[in-house]
Amino acid sequence: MKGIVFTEFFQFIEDNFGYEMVDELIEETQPASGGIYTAVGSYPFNELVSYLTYFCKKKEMDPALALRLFGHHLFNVFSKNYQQFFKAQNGSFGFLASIDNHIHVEVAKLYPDAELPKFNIISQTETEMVMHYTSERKLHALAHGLIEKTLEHYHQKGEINTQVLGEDGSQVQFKITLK
Amino acid sequence: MSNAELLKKRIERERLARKQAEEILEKKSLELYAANEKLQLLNLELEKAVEKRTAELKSAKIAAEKAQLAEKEFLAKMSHEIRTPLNAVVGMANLLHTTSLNDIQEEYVDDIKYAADVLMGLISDVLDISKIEAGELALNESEFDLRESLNALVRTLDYKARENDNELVVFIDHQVPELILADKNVINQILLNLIGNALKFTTKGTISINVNVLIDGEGNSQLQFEIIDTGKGIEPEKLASIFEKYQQENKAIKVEYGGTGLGLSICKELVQLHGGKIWAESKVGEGSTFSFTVKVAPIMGNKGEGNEEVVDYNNQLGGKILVVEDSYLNLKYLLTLLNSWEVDYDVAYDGEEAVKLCAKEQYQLIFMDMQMPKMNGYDATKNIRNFSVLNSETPIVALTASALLEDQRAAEYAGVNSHLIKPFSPGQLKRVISQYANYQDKDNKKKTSKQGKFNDEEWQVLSEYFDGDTEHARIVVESFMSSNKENMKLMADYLDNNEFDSVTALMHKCKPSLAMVGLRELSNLAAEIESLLKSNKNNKAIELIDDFLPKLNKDLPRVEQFYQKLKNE
Repeated sequence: MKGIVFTEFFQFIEDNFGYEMVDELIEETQPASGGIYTAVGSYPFNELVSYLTYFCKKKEMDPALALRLFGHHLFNVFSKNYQQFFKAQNGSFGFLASIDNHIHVEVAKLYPDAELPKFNIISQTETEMVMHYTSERKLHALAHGLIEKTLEHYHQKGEINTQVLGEDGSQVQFKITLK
Repeated sequence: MSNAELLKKRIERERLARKQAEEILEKKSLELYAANEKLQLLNLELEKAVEKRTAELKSAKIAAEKAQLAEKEFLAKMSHEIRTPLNAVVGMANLLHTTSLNDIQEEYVDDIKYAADVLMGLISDVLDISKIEAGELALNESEFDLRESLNALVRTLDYKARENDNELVVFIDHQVPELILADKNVINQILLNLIGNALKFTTKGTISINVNVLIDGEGNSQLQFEIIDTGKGIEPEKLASIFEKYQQENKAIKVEYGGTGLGLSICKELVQLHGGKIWAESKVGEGSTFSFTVKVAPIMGNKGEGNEEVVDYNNQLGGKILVVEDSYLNLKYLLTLLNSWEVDYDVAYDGEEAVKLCAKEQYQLIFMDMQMPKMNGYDATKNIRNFSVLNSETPIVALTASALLEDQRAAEYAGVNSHLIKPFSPGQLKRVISQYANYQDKDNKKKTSKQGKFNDEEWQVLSEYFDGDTEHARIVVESFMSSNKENMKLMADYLDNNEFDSVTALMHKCKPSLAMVGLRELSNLAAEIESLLKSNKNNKAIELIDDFLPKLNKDLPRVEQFYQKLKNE
């Protein structure tokens, strides 16, 4: 998993619960990396799972909610760092469609080892989009949070319907209806 | 845990992260450097590839241009190569015409001549196509008799007309002048194409060819030709594009009637070149009318009355002509004509000889063949123009078998004054000579036609060689009589000493002058002797010479009588 997810996850934790919480996550889960991350490196995905599991247990929080909130945080980082991708589109549907077609194509060039999720557009009208999320990481809640913020970014309001397609949660259908 | 301890831990983590980041950065930098190197290498290879491709394209272009040039040169060369023997055919047919022929023989000679002319026309057509495409076609206007030329054209198409049971009818309005100044070949080519088409598409019908004079608002005259057939006609939608290149009415026509599909578009180009328009009207099942106009300049006066036909060239030229020509047959044709007009001349067989002769003698006019061994006509002309004291201003007429504009320009650049394109008719040669001759004694050249005084044979001689000019005839006969005595004496000497080459030359010299005083039989005999001697059949030749001398003595009084009559004129 790309280091940016870890560094931003720690930033997200620190922003909300202070660095003590970050330290506690590292000390309690004893990750192989020693909890030392850089945004451009790659690290084992299970370290993130351990942090999330420990954190949710401690704070008695639904992991899906935690991931959604983390999604909101991550979106703000992305929209600040990669403005050009957002400016290239004038609506959330256009942007969402450009993730697989364009953004991830570019990301893969820069980081050939990155394992990127797939956002497959199934159908699209002016007001409704059906999209399939596919990833072995099963982070569809994170994706959900990102989509919510995307709508907000383009000043659009809508309803996001989530439907897990497989039993393992690696494939999820998002149905976005604009209002 | 104290804040200080936490901070210390945090700093340690950040430090390690920075180190890690630096390592990653270093690795990425190296990768970038390697990638950059690779890119530069690729770039270099690409540049080399582009360079190579550019060089290849360049050489391909040069090769293509060379090939095109070679093709052009080939065309010019082939036209020359084909024209040269064809010139000989036309020239010899012209010469044959001046001998005594019966009606059937005359018709045969006419047929030979016309067939050769048509062949010459075909070669010109092929050249024309390439010239039209290169935009290089120039009008070559000359005076000619439209009626004669149109009738001759129709005669050659007559057999073709009969194939499909068609009839050709020519109507030329009386307002059409007898002689016109126009490009005969261009007009003939247009007519040949249009009449040829009409014959192709008509069966058991009539093709009428009408010629009328049109006078426009500014008083300029144009000739309008109409070719009207009673054939199958052309559908209206096809009519519009019929003059476009490579258009035939349809594929079936191509299969059934053949042809390149270029005919009508060549016609259109040629008509435009001649300052006219071409159009077609047609009704399916009833027939078609193709019409075209050409700008022409009428020549005042009628054929045969023009004073250029009756000129005494020696008087006019007041000096010699130099003929530079390597082809035996062409030379023979030219010299026979010059002899018959009693024009003084020297002959050079190549450019080098011409330059040498020009250093010794001043000529009034030089006929220069352009394609010759040793030194060609272009170089010889340049040399004479630049270095000859006596002849740097002498008019030089290029004798060329090439109708290519490019060749004509090259000749002009070398310094020639005008061109005489082979094959030329006796009339054309006459016109060129008179163009450069001084008209000193115009008044002496009045034509007289007092046939009553002369017997048939004499009259034939008069009209044939002197166009009724008794003054000219008198001079020619006089010079014959004075030279004859001397020639016969020389002949006796030569025979005594077995100098057969000299006898040959003498016979060659006598031949035309004998014919010109009406001793045609003796002229033929002289020709026979000459050819026998040339093929080393000396005994047979001597037999004929034994025949020749008494015959000449017998006929001399008749020439004397003729001379007296001329003197009394």
